[in-house]
Amino acid sequence: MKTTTTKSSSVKTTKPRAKAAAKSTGKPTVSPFLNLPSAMTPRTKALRRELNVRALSNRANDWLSKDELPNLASNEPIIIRRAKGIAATLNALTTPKISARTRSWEIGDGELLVGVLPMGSNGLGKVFPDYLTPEERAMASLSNRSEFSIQGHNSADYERLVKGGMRKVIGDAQKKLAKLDTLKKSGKFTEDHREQHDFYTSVIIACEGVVAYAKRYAELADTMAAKEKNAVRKAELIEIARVCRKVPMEPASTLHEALQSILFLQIGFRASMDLLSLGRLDQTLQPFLVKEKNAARALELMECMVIKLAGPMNLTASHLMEQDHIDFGVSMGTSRWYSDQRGNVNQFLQNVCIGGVDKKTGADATCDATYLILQAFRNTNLPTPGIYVRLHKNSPRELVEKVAESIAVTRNLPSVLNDDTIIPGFLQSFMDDETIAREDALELVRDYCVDGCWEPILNGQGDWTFNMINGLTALECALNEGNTLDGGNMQLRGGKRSYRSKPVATYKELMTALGEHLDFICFQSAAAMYNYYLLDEYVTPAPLLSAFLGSCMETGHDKSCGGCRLSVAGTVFSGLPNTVNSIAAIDKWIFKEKKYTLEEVREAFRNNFGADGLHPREVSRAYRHLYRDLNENSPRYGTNDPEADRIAKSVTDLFFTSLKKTKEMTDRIYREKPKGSITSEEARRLRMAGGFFGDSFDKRLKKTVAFTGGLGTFAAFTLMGMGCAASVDRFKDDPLSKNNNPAPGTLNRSFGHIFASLKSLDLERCSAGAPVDLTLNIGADSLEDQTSVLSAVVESFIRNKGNVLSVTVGNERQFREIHEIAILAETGDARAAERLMEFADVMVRAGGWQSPFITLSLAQQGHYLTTALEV
Amino acid sequence: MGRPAQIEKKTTQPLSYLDIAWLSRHDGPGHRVVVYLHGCALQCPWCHSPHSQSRSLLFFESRCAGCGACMRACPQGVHRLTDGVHSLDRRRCKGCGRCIEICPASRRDTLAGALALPFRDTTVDEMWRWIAPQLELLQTIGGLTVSGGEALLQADAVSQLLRYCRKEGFHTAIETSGTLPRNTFEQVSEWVDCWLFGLRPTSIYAPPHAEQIAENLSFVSSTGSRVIIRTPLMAGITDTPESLSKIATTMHENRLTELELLPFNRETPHFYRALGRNCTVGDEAHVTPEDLHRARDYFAHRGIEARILT
Repeated sequence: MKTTTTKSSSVKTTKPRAKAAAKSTGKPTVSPFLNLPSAMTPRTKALRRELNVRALSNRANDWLSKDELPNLASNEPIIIRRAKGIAATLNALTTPKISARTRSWEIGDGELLVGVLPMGSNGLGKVFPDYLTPEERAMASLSNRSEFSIQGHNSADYERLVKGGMRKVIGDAQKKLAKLDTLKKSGKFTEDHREQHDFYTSVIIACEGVVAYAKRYAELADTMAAKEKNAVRKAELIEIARVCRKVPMEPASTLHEALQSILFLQIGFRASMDLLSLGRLDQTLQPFLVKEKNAARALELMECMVIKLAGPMNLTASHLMEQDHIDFGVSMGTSRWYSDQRGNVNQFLQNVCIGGVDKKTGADATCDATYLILQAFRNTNLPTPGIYVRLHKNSPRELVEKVAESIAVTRNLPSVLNDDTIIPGFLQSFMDDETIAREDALELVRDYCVDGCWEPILNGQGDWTFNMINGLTALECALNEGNTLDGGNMQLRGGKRSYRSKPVATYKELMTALGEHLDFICFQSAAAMYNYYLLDEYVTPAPLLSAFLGSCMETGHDKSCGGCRLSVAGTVFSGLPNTVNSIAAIDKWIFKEKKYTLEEVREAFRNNFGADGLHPREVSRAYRHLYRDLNENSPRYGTNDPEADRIAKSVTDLFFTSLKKTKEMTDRIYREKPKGSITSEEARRLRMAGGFFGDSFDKRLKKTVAFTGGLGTFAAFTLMGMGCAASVDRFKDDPLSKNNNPAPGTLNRSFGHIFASLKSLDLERCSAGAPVDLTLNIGADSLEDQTSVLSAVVESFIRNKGNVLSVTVGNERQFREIHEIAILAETGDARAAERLMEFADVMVRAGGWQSPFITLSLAQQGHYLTTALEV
Repeated sequence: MGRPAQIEKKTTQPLSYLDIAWLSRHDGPGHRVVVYLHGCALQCPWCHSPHSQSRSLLFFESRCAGCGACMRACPQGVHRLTDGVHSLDRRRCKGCGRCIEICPASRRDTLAGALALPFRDTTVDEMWRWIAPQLELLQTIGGLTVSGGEALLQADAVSQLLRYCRKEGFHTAIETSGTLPRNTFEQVSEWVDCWLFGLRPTSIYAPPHAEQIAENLSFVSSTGSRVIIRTPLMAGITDTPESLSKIATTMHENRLTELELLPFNRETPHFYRALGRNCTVGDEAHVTPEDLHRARDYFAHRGIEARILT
């Protein structure tokens, strides 16, 4: 960290002080935005209160109903139907009769920013007009897709919006259309030109839909202003009307206009079912903040923005069933992966990223808007949107302290990304693809933001998709000759998940087998991502996002058919801690000590240590000694144990080797690269063997595809544990370790150990993210003391080359108390359900995002009872 | 960091410890990792870590499920289970730890189970590997405190550990009763940034080495390192005018101005019970907030800043 002040701590140290002094630039960064009010204004307090009231109520009526939307199935191009769907949804939201129920077209008392984000989340689903014909729908189902399969998980180029307005995008589209029309008349109109024509037409329809939505708000503000008696509010409403008439159509000139413009586009995205991040919002807003003289006023506007974005949240689990809009095909890609709905209730995939380095120079890019946004998040303290601060070794000390103070106050916000680790790794991922120059890639990766969870992505410049693989599945296959250890009585050896491998008798053979199965599983996942790119075109194009994403406007193609030249495909390895713990125990007790045989351990895993049928589950007498040795007397991930760390590094190495092989193979088959490595005929034949009958990925457009790898689980740690046999650190079906946290039960009271273990993994290569989620009980000491400890945690994380960090300040006692009430509430105890509401403000990190503890499933809640670190 | 391989000279110096605190706010400047070493030259009756003086098995009755596994596993016949009551004959215990290994409610590496040994033997390098990552984390807001028991009973190991800290630039503190020969202090002083020096002049328990303590305090005060005097404050034992006066005088003699007052810990009987012993100092030693403030004022009038640690 760059130090502009010396530490006030009374500790007399020797070397570090000198080091710190030497690093000091000596030039203090004094920002008027460093001393912003730490309380909301009466206006934002009231808005926040009103939001809480709604979020604690039954929100079933706030949802649009399919009946209120047109059926757009026709013989028009799908992309045009989809664009019409966006406009139709936005229109329905602002229809008085519908809004009387949904409250989706109203301006609340005191609101400065207007528009209502439609209901919908990763866990609750979305509502959108049907637009596929019965035949299209039936065929799409074969690849697990429907109108709802739109992925989101991306960010848009918001700078394009605030600088040029929709007018620029619409104007560009019109010019392109005019040229295409000329071609049409000249008879040189190709199939590709037709696609471009459809794309630009759909962009205009979608953008005009958003502009029309804004105009409806201008009308509403006008009507309300005419009736308003209070002169101050009347003036505000008149200003709102003016802003809504101007943006998003025109470029923004003020902070108010910029925020309102971004909010309208975000509402447009949400109406189009694309749940998207807000990119590096401080960099987008800073030019407008320079003109804003009143910092307190700017803060109030920013608080209004955060409250608006949190609009659709639910703070109680009592009414979720009525809001379950998840439908067939909502899962992403071609996988059958279904989300943990409860864990995703408030997951809107809308993160804000601040701080970091300048994309051109690489110098620190912290600015007034960084502090403004951080303070607004701190003051409003909401579970959504997510807030990530990018830090690096030259981040200003003031920013680090503000981050620590915010975590202490909010108990949860913000999360931290380490530029020093992520940027080099991300750059290397691009360097693995021959199609991009290093300096271009460097600028792109320096400008990274995060998607809706924690994966680093390109900031509005590239398409992103990801998939997950389960380390424990690969390990089961390695231990069991290609089979998983489940299957109950119906299978013989086990579930047939991979190809048969040889029996293993040594550590080396085990790791070789693990590598083979990882190769297989990795390839399956990554090839599915390629198929995904090439299938979406026919089901879920995204014209509104494409209008603001990378090169789509230039190429004339939607992102779903390769319009965005830059693509990043992430593969996330889940369950590393559990995989490592099991391998470490097996290596010690089977291969080294030879106290047990592999067969004994495999049967113990398969038989769940004899715990089935016991309540509560406990190890049966027959397995007690074995379990004790495996579970307690073996090296453990996250304890800075050299043996466990060595194995963790080896497993991670295997994963990245598999990923590299996968990238090479998919490039050859889907992209026919590198040139000369394969003939077109051979590649086509191979693609067809995989069920894809289309052309090479690169035939239409020159494309750059970066493969990134990450380690983590998101909120799926419970779901991904289901179906896995017992491991040394968990019973069958129990959750995996959350992200890269030590497994519950790991005796460890030093968070320094966790960082040390992470460091040994070489996280620079994890450019798809490798988060650790600390839950710290740092007691009831003064804010200054807590800030001091949290600053040290954050600084150490950066120094030790951590990747992504979230901190929840909480204690196991409170989590247990809430959990016990939640168990009663689940059994139908109305009083318990009511009592739960008292804890609506307790937020935790649900693996990929913040979540109110009371909305989590019991299994997710249970995780917190054993993972809080007492310090 | 944390890998002894980085240290030029490897050591197999043994180290016996009771426990580690990972983020203490009361054992030296800032936030500390505290290593409590096993063994003590004294037997203060108010000591809240009596297990530092003993190698006897600890038994925490409330955590015992009464399964009898320990009884079956113990070759010495230490454990008895009669009518559901678990009793121990500690004289027979050889410290092999088999009862702990078999007990479903215990683990070798924690004092939080039903059964535990009060000491853990390791090497300096192993200890360094264990604590270095947290020290790295706390380097700007604290450091390492070696406490006890009596930290300097293992002066060779301690000096090695402190040298490792110095190499990395981590702040160090030693908590001591000051009763050991001066050469043990000289052996480590070069690597000590701060001394936490215990003074307990009392009528009922006069440490047998008053002159040694005076000599050692004089020595550490001359080293230029920070010295903080610590005294446990117990009603009728150490809060007497004589005791307070002696502390003030000693501090003046050594030109020391920092004092920390540690009120009697009401949880003190916890480890005595686990050792099957009686704690002879009870609730009567509890000092009220008024007593504490009075003591603080007493020192303030004598130019000594006394902090109350609660």
